[in-house]
Amino acid sequence: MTEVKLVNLTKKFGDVVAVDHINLHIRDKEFMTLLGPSGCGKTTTLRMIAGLEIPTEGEIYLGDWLVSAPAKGVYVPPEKRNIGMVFQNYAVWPHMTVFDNVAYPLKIKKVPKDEIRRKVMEVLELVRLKGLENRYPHQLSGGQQQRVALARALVMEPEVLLLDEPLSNLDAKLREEMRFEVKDLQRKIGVTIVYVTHDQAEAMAMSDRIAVMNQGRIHQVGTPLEIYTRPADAFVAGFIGLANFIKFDDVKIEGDKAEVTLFNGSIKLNCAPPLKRSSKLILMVRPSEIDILKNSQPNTVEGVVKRATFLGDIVDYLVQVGDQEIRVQTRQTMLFNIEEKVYLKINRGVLVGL
Amino acid sequence: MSAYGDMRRYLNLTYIIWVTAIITLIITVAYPLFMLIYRSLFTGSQLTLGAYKKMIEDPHTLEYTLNTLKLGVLATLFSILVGVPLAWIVTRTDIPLKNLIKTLAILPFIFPPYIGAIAWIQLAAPYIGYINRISRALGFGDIVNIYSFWGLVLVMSLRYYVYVFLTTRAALEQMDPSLEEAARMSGARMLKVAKDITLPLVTPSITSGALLTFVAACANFGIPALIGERARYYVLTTKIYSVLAIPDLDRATAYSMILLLITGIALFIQRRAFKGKKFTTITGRTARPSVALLGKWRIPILVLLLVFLILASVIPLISLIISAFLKNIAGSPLDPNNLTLENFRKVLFVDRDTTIAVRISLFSALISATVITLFGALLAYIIVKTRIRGRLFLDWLSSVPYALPGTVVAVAIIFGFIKTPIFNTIWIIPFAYFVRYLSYGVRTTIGSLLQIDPSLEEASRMSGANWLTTMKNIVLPLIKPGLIAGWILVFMPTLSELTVSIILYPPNMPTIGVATFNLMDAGYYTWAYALSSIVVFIVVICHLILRKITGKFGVRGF
Amino acid sequence: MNKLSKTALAVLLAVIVIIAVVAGVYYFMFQQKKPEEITGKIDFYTSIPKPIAVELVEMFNKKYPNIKVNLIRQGTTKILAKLYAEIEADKIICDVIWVADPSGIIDLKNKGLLMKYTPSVADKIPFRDPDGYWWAGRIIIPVIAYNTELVKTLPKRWTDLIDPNYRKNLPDPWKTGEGWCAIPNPLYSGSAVANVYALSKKYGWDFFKKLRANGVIVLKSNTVVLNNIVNKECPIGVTLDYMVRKAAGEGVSVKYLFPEEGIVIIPSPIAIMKDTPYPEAAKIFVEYMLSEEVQKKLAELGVIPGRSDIAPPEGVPSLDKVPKLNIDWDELARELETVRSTFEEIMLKG
Repeated sequence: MTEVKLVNLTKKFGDVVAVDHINLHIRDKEFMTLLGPSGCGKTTTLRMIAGLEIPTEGEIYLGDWLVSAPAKGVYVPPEKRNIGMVFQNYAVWPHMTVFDNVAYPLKIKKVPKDEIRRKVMEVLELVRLKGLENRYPHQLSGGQQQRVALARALVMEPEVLLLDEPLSNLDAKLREEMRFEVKDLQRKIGVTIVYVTHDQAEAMAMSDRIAVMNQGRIHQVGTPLEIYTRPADAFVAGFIGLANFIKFDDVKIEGDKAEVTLFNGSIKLNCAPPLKRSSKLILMVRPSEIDILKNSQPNTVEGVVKRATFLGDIVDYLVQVGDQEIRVQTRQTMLFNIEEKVYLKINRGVLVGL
Repeated sequence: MSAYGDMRRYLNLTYIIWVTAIITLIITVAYPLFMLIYRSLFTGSQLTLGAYKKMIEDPHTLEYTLNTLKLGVLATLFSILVGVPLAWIVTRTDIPLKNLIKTLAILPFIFPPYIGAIAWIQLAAPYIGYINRISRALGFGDIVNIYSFWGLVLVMSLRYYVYVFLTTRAALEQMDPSLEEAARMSGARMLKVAKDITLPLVTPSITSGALLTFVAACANFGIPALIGERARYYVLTTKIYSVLAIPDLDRATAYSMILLLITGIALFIQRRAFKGKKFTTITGRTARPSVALLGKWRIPILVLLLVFLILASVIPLISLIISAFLKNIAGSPLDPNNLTLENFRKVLFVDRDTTIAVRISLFSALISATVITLFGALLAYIIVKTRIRGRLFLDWLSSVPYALPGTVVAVAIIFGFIKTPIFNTIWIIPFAYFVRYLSYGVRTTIGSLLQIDPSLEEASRMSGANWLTTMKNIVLPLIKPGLIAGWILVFMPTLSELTVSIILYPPNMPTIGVATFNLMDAGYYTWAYALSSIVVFIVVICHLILRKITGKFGVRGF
Repeated sequence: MNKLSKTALAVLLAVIVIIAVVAGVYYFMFQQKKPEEITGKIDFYTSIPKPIAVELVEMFNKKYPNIKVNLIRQGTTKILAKLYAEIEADKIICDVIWVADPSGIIDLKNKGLLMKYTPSVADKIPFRDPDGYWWAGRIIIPVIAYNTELVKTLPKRWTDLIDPNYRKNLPDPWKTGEGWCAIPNPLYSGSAVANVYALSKKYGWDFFKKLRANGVIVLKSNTVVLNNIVNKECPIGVTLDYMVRKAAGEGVSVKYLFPEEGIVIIPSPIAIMKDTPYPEAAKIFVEYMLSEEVQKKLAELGVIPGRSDIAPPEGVPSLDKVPKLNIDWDELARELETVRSTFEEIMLKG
């Protein structure tokens, strides 16, 4: 069983709190992504799991093994944790061949030579680098170097694999390809993955669960669907996909149902109650969940088009309704011009705390 | 004034400056070296290969050459043994007091090498050196004699290990830390990471520093002159000095050519072989390198390090200064009757040689520092800011006399300028300093100019200012601290210089370095210590000023 | 005036200012003396120790202010080398030369470069060139000197220096190791050549091999040896009599002795170069150096004067009665190179 448990994990650099008492339970064989903007603490968290940083407070468990607990004086150095790590800039050693790079962890463990050979070739085949084992890193492309880094991390048959923004240095097309490859690999091998990225699309595409972080705290942990459809707060909502935050007049919450009144009663909407109790609530509506109509209909509100951008199969509108600006994305082929009067219909919304 | 006209005049001015610079460099650098080589082949106007014949006939040539090489190699080895671990500890562990250690580590560098030799002589001389006196008092008898081959190696290594320390430290600081982290994640422990990953990637820098050490050790005059002579260990530089006194110009040329060859080859390897190394590990990331935790070894290693550094650099200097206050060096420094200011008085006000030396050195240092800063700035500007062809040749040419051994440069200057009116006058000294230290001025100004983003000048021109106004209002103020720092960086070594002035100084016109050396040579030890202490004092003051200006320690020799 | 000419003018101005500043600094630091009425100019080359040479020249300047004397002082070998370089370049600057020993001067005489001159006090100078080309202005003697605080059992003979048993009489650290005794280097010092030559004649070159084996070191000059004895670095050394005398006179704890086998009496010759442009001035100079005034001064300074009618310094025994090591100066002049290189080979080779 290789789950990773972070208990009250904190890291301070001087007065700056980079990671603020986070709790996270990563399940066995799960693909968990730490997602957030720069400086949110995700990389620091990852490095603490690796052992490259020492926590200020808190505990880290690998399975049942306590590897980090400053209060108890426990600290297992990274070389002893048997964790594979892929770095953002690959960190492939320039003075060793591909083979030697990948074989290195096995050499450390004093694995016999022929077994090293077998394992290395196996994993090179897995990452589709077979035939290049005698090349030097400067003779490989960026994508190939990344795969060498991956192979090196996998060859030690780790139970946990850490990846620190590994695809951010690749071009867009390669990045997409590699996403599928990495996900495939994980399924084949069955290793627990902790993945760090600031790219929301990447996180959604690859993860079993996502932990959305900001300023050292975890805002929400959930599957991509959960996070997208039921964001816990305004930050998560805004970070994952586009979001409108609309002030409402009134809300009635009964059990697992909520009814929201908007725009002086023009619109009444049924939606889910907020995930987190909060004194300040706001209605989050995705631009794709709004219809834009030419004529008035029941449960619509009037507005004026302020901006219209034709993006091919989508049209992006900014509509002024009262004192709020609402963004709408729609597939309708009908085009509205600026200053034209339109009517908006909200199909779905989520209540979130600010 | 049309833009084209302005441009044309600007090009003409730059062209004139460039031509002036080239002519000056040819006269001061290329010509003397050419004369040296010419003299090695021709005597008078006949192709006699006189110098080379002497080289082969003279039974001692091999001995002196091998001695030079032996000293160079061993000094380099010890420098690596000291410099590399020091650099690693300072960059890769969590040892406390890092700034103090870094300062102590480069301390030997800011003083001229002969000061170190003098300091160690009064510490470790046979019979009367402090170390022997203390060990006798403790009942162990005499234990050291600085006048030996190993004494030479010791003093040489303790002076020049700084090269290796600096290059290794720079490489370690700039290395991408994730390369080492990846090794740790792969299961390797701290020392294995150092051995398998750090060391191979840092080796080119270590070798570069080692070669610099080797060249410096082979080219040094002061240390083998003060220590080696009595140890009967003769090297090329000291022998060139001796035979010039006879004067045996053929032998001097022969030895100079050998020294030129040795240092030339070493420098060539150093510049070429490690320039385009494919291990480009330098990234722009500002991530801190991973640091090994020393745990319970922290304090013991710190103590060991500090003791070593203090013993190696600080103690000799302090005891040198103390000895300057002694009436009689055989007496005890603890005896108040033995203390006096007389040595300083004699040296500063009474003795003809030393008093005139102070004036000559001040004069020469002031002039050469000023001229070098101005001319060097000119060259630097051409090299950095213009696209004139051959500007890299300018850079290379100006740096040659510093790269070569001072003794060889001095001999070349003799051959080039013996028939000119400046020879045997006081002007030969600042002239020689100009030739030798020009590259300092060029280098520091290049550094300052490179820090100014071209967009700053471009913005000034877009705002309507012409080239001259931009220079005056934008560039000059920005490089002013750099120019001042460069001035000090030339003033310091020229004030205390020995190697070149010992060969070129006109009769009765010694420099401070020459006067100090002569005092040691003649056995007036306490006076020599007093003069040396004054040099130490001036150097320290200059360094503190330099530090204030540049915000970091200026390093002699770079 | 356009901007560019202004620039050129500014640069030119700056250059002029710099030159002016430099010249001013130079002048200020090295003020040139105003030229006076000079009726002669002497370039005086000598190996006499600087303080003494300076004093003699100053005495001369007081008496003959119209003759300018340019003092060039270096060790015998160096000063002769300088002179030979001038001879080779056919541009002899030296007018009067006064070195430590006759061997170098004899060569000059043989080359016909010296002026034959008989000073007025010629009959009072026992040591001279038989043909009248040089005169001994002073007598110097290499002696064994020792630090009185350290050495209680005195050495008696030159051979004591090669005797390992004698060493055992010295205080502890000097019983072993190298550097307990120092001799001057004949490659620099004229008096050292003479002494080495004499000892090599008496005991053969083996003597020096034994010297080295016994831990005796070579230092540059007599002055250095004396300083080392004073410094207590070497308790014993070979140096010149007058240097020890002067130091002892100042209260320093050094003394000298004449070894039993004998001493070398070195007549220190003064001569005039034949083609000097100021022969009259040169003669006046030599005459003054041999005058009562100067010779008495030398005795005052501890140097044995060249004139027999001037009393030697206090404590100097009559030289007639002292055993001597005799030297044929002409022979030494011929063998100079061999003596030096043999010595170098034995004592200085690494």
